[in-house]
Amino acid sequence: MTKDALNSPSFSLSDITAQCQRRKKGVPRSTSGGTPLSETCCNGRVRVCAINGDRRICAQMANLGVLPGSEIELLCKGGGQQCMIKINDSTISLDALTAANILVAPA
Amino acid sequence: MDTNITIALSGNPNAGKTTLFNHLTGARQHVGNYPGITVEQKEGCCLHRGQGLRVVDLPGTYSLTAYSVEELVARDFLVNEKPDVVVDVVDASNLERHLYLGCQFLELGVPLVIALNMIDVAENRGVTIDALTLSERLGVPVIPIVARTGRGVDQLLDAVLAVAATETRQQPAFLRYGSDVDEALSYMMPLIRECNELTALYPERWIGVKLLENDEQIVQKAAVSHPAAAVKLKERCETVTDHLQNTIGVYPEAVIADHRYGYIKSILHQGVVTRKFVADRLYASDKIDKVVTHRFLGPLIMAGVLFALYTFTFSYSKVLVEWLSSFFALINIGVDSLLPDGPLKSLISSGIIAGVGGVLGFVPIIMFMFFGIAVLEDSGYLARVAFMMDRIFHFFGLHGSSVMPFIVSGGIAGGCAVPGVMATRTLRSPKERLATLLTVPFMNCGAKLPVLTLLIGTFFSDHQARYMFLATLAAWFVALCAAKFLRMTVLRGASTPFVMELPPYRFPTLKGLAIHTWERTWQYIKKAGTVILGISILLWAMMTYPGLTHDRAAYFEQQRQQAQQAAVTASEAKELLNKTLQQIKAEEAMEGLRNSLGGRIGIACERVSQYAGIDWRTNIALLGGIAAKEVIISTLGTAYSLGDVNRNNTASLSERLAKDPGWNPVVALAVLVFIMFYAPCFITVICIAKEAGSWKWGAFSMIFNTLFAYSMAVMIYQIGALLYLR
Repeated sequence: MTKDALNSPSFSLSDITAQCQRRKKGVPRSTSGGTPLSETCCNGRVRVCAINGDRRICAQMANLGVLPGSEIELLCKGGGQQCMIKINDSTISLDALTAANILVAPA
Repeated sequence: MDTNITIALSGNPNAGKTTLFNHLTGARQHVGNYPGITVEQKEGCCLHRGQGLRVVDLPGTYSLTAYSVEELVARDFLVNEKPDVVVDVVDASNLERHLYLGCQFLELGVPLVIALNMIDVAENRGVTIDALTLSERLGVPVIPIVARTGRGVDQLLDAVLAVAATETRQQPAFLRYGSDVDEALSYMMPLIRECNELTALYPERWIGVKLLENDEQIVQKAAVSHPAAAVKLKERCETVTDHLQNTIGVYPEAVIADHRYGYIKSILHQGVVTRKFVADRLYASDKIDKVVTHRFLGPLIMAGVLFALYTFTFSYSKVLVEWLSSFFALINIGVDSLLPDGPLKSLISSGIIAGVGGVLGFVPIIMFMFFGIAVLEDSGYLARVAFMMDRIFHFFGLHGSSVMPFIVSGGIAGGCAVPGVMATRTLRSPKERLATLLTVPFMNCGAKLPVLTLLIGTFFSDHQARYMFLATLAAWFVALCAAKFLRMTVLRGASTPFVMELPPYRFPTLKGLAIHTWERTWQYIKKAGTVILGISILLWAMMTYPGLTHDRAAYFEQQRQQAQQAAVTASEAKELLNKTLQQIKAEEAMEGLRNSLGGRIGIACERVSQYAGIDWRTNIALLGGIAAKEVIISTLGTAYSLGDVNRNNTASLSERLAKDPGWNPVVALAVLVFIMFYAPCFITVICIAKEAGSWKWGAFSMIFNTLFAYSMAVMIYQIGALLYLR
């Protein structure tokens, strides 16, 4: 899926989940596909595959634009702790638990 | 002035809403709280083309769903107060994210004007926005502005007046949310129409969206207004939620948010926004962040900045504090020379002037501290400090933003708990805020320092620096452990996830800094000033009345006359006479104190305090310390028959304590620990009560801290006595 397709208003969230799972085929991974953001080893661009955990946090993330399929830039990797991301030109800090609930794959 | 047009300023946090508010209203603003909660309500007024405008600055929010108090407050204001115009302040350099809230205003159908703030920043980043086309597509006026300089603000107010004058009501925008959600909404519409009370306030489709988003307030209102329909609505919402969870693993709100962003993209990507440069490049803020939030460099820079803030506050405010102190001393001298000795003079001098002086004495420190905090806050650095400290504070049940109140209160020994308590306003979670409020007084404030210095200097002079450092460490340890204890007991609850937008680094405006500093300082003067005067008078009365009996007063008068006569007959030197008279005066003062209500309480408390090695005289000083910790030394001085003791010159009191049989290093350590941790001073208690919204928390802080300090002091005294005194 191209970046233009992602930006299109008509793309479906189900396409993204499927794509994340395809990308990770053959690689040991969690059930939803993708690696927890808090465990991501390198700074740089990643794509959100799924957001797990508390409904309120999922909604808060959605309001900030962190949705399955969105591309984010990891500015300050967490190493299992809190991390800092950039999305839609905004810098957002996430605590360890929230970051662990965001599953990402390389963009 | 006709002020019948109400404007609500809304927008995401860091969109520049408050900057615009300050620009519009200047000094014509006042800050209050929304009823029952601690979210600030700022209101002001301005005049444009002869029309008076009432401007309300709503709390910064990302959405209009009731996920947080701020969001609930903003939404309730829009729905209940029905402002004539809502001005959505959006950051032009980050349009997509900021229009998300604007999109929800369109769905709610409020009369809207969009202020494209920071258009200059967007232009510098090579982003050009066609405001006219954007306005046509959204169906509302879009005005580019720069709130910092005032550019475009007149045009914005013209647009506001035009919208306010429009007769036709803004219709709620109709957005598509995908087949699953749209089908569910179609099914829900007839049921929603049955809930008359809800539809009278909100648009029907909007209610459906909120029910699908599991908005607690709307779900509850529906259940109350029409229980039968609410059950069916809930069932349908659960069916859709389960379906979406099973198929694509998301909640309905994610699908709705996704389509809102899709709608915004479809508007922006058709020539409204053009970029000269690559969109993904890192800006200056990101480059700075790579250094200041670095794993190793970050904490070092933070320590440096906090130390600078501390030095700035307490060094530069010193001159003003001294001026104020001299000013009150002058007034006292004036009162002393004008009024005859007696209760009135004592009341004015020791009660009123000491009380008002006590409140105003803190004002320069508070002003400087808030100025420093405003610089850190407006520049964007404070959010980074919170980010770095969150990991440690999270362990103790606090939030990363709790660090500033701790530092301000004396984290680096010598702060003040009053601005510390007020600095907790940056915390959003009520329980974390309360835990911070209640534990910041454990820090070693500037008023405790002279007492610590006196006791350590007297009994542990060989290791003075080491003990002072240990006292600072102990304060941190106790405050954090107490916070953990509170969060595990009375303030039990989940920690707030630290999800926070870090604003880009900006140069603060002088006007903004001045307004922030003044409004917080003025709040302090108003809050503390109204109550402290009464309490100060009360404490004065407790330490003065009932005073000496007639017999004892006559006895001291007789002593004085005898001394004068003896001096005349023996032709003694004037100095010796003065010394004798001073001694008689001191003894009289001590006996008066002993006989006063405060003295009697001190003696009564001795039954309990003796287990911590504290006698009645120290009890009186500790009681006085509740008024202000500075009072401890002067009261100890009176209680140990020294008359008035200057707190900066404690040598004589130090000698007296060292020689007193009731004092030894173990007692000194127990008293030291008690003073560090017992009830905060009254000004702090008042601030805690006001900030927490209830006097019960003020009382709790006094009782909890005193009980904790007492148990610690008893433990130290008993173990110390067992090991060293037998």
